[in-house]
Amino acid sequence: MKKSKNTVYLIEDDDDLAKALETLLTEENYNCFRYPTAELFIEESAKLKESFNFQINSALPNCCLIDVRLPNMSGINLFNKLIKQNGKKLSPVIFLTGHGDLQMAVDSLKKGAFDFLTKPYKTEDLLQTIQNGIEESRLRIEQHQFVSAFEKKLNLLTSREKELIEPIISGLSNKEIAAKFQNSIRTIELHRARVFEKLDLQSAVELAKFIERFNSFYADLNN
Amino acid sequence: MRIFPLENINMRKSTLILSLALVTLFVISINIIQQIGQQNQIIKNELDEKRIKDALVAEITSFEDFIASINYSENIKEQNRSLPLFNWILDIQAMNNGSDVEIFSRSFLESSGIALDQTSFEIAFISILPLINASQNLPNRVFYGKSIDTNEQKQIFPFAVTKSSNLEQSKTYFGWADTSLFLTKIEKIADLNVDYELNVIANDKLTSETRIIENKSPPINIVVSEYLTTQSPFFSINFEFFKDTRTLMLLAINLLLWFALGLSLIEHLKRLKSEERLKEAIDLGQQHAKLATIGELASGIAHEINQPLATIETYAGLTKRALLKSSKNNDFKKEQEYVDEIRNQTDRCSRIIKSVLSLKVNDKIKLTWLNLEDLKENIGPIINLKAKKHSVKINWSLLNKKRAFSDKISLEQIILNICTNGIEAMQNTPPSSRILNIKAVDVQIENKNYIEVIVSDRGCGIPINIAKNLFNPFVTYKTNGTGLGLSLCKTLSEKCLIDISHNKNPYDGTDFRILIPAFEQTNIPESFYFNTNPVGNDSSVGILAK
Repeated sequence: MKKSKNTVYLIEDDDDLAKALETLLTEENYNCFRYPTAELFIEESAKLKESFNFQINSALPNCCLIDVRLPNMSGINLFNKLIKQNGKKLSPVIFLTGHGDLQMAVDSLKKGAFDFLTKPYKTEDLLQTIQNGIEESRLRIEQHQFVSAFEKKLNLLTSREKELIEPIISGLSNKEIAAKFQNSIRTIELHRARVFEKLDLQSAVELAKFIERFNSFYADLNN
Repeated sequence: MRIFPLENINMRKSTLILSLALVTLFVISINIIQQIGQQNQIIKNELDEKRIKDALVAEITSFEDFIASINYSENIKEQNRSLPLFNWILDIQAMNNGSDVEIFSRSFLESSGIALDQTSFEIAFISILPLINASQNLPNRVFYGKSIDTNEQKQIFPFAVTKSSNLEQSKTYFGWADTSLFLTKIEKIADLNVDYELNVIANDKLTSETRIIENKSPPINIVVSEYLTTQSPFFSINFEFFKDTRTLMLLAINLLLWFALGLSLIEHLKRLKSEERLKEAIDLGQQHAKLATIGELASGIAHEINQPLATIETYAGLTKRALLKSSKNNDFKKEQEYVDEIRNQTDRCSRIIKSVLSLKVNDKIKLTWLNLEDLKENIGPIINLKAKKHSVKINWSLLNKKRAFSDKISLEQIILNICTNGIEAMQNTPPSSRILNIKAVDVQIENKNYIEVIVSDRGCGIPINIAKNLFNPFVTYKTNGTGLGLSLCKTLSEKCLIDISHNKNPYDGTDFRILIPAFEQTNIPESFYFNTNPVGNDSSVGILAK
């Protein structure tokens, strides 16, 4: 049960608020890790790479709650650094802002932050936003998992087999493919069976779907 | 607003001196001109008099020459053709010595066409008789009598002369002359200014004048001239004196001085005005700077306060959720409401911080229809609390039927602030009359509906020197006021198109009038704030935040 808990990384310098938030989030069944400074978070995150960076298959949905105004390194700078390091692979980041930081928050949204909350927020809004972040995270993890799994399978294919994928997707029959590659129908049939077997798929339609998904996610994640 | 352009200029010493100099110069100039005018007048009078005398001498001399040349006749008019030259002579009568003067006189007057009743004849006769007697005693002299009125409103004067070589052969010539004709002729000869009129011949002191015909000694003046016009010393300008070079020069110098002084005064006033403007601009700039500083400060404070507020909200939210989770049906219903109230107030705090303290943030205001009763419900308790502390009685009378269209927070803040001021203003009022009236009525201005909220206190009133700048930041008449309250009210009111004014009331306190639109409005001014501190790179706030 405990393992399925979603994680929220809280970077907030105000101890009282951080504690309150931690209590709330724990109460709401989240794993909450809190860090008083951006530096500490970076240091810790280097150690616990897996748990907040979803490149690893086993990662659970998580998101970051970052106060914009932090001593020394500001929340924005931290975000900039993280996005530089991880790109699209970064967990959803939710900013906590004072009302004066609105423009800053909007700017960071454009750069890829997930959302922001103006202090003092309504508890319901906070929880909803975190929930949304977690959903986003779950989605991205799924995508990532799919991409990495499928990539692995694709890597099993020989170059000849890989060549076959495109004609199969475009719906050519074995005969036509054989004609195209100037091979016997039997050989093509054999290759084709092997592609489906290696990729663990049943039909050409299914293959087409997977490839499409893979391509779009891959572009998303590696952009 | 500015009725008189000089109204706003403070009278300074320099202005005063300059004005005084100008006025003094003006008075001196007027005086000089006046004196010159008088001098001129005297000269002119003398000149005129001389001309009159000359004319008189000429006329009388020629008349006497004529008298000397005539011979005896019963009727000289027919005999001598030169008589019409003296058109002022009515007739000349000649009689032998010892004749009855009365008969001659009567016949003469009748032949001259002078209407005769007994009275006028007697007057005429009485006036000529001594002349004739005198002329008979002193021959060869012409005697002129006093001018007399006949019953026809005509003025005549008599004359008589006895021409003789010896007493036996003497002849007396006498007659009457028409005074007005004579004077007209003299005037004509003298070519007098129209301002003068000769109207009396021989006043009471000079009953008669004589002249010897033979020796043409200078004739004695028999005419008393009187000036018709009375010279008003100031305003009838006599242009004669312009002919005098010295006067002209004096006048020119005077004018130049006037001109120079006037110019310098104008320049001076201009400078004062521009100085005033500069001062205003500097003041405004300083106020803006102050506001900007406050904005920075407020932003930092707001952030600081937002932290605990967020904490409170978080715990309250947590409690609420916990209550929701653990309760079934209606358990803890009240407690949940309490928690909601905590959260409402937290929210309110944060909104007040946003809308009141954040002078640099261009917060969008939200205009909605507002019921003043709701407003009373919201801020009433706060006002009551304050009123209780100061033993002030609050009278609400919301008589308006319409709803206001405004920003809730702003309006609440404005009314709260003004009420608080009103309560505090009554510190020195006897407790029995510490009453704060809050009244709301519907009003219509230019076909638009408004609600006017009038907050009347019975306090000390606002000093005049402060009233002018009352809404400026840091202007206060309270011993420990910040001077920010009303300034913020003004800022808030401007955003919601609310108008705040104040005036003295019969209780020597102050009436604050808050005019709130009761109609939907769309064009709200975008920004009233000073974005001196762009968000994101302000170190000051960062430091405060730590």
